[in-house]
Amino acid sequence: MKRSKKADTKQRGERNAALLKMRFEATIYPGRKAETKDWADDLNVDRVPDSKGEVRALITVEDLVRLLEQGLEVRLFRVHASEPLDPALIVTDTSFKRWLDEQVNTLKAQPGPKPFIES
Amino acid sequence: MYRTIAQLDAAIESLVNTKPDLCTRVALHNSVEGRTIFALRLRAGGGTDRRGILIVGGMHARELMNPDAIIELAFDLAQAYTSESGLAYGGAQWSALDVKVMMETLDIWMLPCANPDGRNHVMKPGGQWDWRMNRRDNPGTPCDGVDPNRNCDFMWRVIGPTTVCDPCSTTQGFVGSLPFSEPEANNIHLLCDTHRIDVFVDVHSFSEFVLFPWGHAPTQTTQPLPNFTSLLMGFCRPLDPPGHQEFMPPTDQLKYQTVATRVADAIRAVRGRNYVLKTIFQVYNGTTTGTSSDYVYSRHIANPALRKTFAFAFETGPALGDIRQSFQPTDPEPIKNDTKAGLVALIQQSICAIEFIGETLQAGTVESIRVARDELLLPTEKGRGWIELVTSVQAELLGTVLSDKALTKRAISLLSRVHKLAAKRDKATVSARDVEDGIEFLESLKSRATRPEVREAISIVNRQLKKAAGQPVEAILKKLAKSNPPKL
Repeated sequence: MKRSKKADTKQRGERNAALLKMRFEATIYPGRKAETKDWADDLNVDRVPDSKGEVRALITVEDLVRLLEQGLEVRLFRVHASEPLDPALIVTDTSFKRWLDEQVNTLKAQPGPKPFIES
Repeated sequence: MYRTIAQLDAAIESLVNTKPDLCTRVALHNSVEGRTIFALRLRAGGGTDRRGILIVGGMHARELMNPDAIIELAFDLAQAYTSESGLAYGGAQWSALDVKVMMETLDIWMLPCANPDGRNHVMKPGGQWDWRMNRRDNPGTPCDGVDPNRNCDFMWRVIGPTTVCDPCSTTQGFVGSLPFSEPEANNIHLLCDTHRIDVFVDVHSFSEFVLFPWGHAPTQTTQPLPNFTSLLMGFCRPLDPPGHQEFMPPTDQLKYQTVATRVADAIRAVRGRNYVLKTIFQVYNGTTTGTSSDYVYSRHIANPALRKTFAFAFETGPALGDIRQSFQPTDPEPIKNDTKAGLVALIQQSICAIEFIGETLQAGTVESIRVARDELLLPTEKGRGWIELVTSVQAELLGTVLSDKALTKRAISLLSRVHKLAAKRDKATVSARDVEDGIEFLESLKSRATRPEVREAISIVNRQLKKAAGQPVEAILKKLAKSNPPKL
């Protein structure tokens, strides 16, 4: 079935909006920009720590364009949707209650030692 | 798996209700969205004006593991104490006596989730997994959020790779409208102002680092001035002058390195992960300002009337290929165990045996001992070696002393004598009786010590003590400052 031009445009619009919200995992290098000591000081991106000392960041499409225009080299590794934490990673109330009951029962079962110094 | 804000709050409430003699809950400033932010204090037994440690987690919303780890640690400590069973995370272990000493000589403060609104935003439908800041609605902009760990009153609005003045920057490092404008940051200030905090740690993720000041500039140990108090701040400009290096007394730097090494050793003992020691500046190799750790450590320099607090930060968990997995691993349990072990090691390092016996127990002072240590031993590497020898075994020895009333009494009496000798150290001479008393006391400790290193440390001290009879106190300490202690 032939799709209407209007539907295509709408779909493209939605895809572009989603793309703008995406976060890319990136490592940034000085590229054409001379590698000065402070080349990475004002990248204006969401940096994350890196154990090897690389300049790693979560960047948007707009960040990517800006960095490339500045002459920097950007290597992209992965893309993430803008979404909340996967609900499967959140402790359910049932599981939480079971954990808490266990903790509290263990605590209740023991009176504790006589302190070195009484309060 | 990660707990919600409601679950974290319920856990604190249950702990406090179950063990009110051990745990106290304190409501701090409400969050931007009006949530009550709670701190928790753990302590057992009596004694006033104890040393305190403050453990903070969840300042950055997306770093989900740490609030869970801190809450679990609170339960673990309370259970280990009440059941007299000790603590174990993998291969890192603490005896029941170790836990008893921690719980009964310190006030252990925890702020498990400093930024509850941010955590809620990460988890709620419509939220963002990678949200870092609080949920401040920045007036006049469509952009939300202030980074609480760039909002503290230290070199505020001096910009760098992760510190920005634009609320709409994707950096997620907006500094806010004023220092401590954000309750999530101001609660650190509140706790430090209202309670005795000697050691501080802000737990972040990720990359497996144990961090300490400074963050705004590289650290140097030779030129005290100019220091940060004379630098420009508040103008949204980079650090000025650009090459500034911030002073830290070499003795503080050594203390940071020593304690951080012990923390990293404890973490390694869990399952072999290697946490690396760095300054906060080294994390991004650039100026990082307004952080809680720098603020807390800088307080005594900005205002000499305030107590010095040694402030650390952890970056928990490895830097994986996938950033989302690094922040929010599917299985955070092994990393939480590393973190808990590091925190217990830091708690144990916060104990000062001499201060507890001489001041908290006796309501006296050990100031002259502190001064003699700082003036005669601290300035030399060899002298610091002797301090290190004592601090490496003091927590276990304190437990032995406190477990026996007769030993405690003798420790108080001996410390009182040492205090008097140290107070007149230029004239006072150590008598044969002093030596005899000291050796007899240390031998009693040695016979009860469980670890060979502790017995060896006592033997080393005893050998020095035997040579002390008839010697002036100052001469003994000066000699120690020039001789290396044998390695344990």
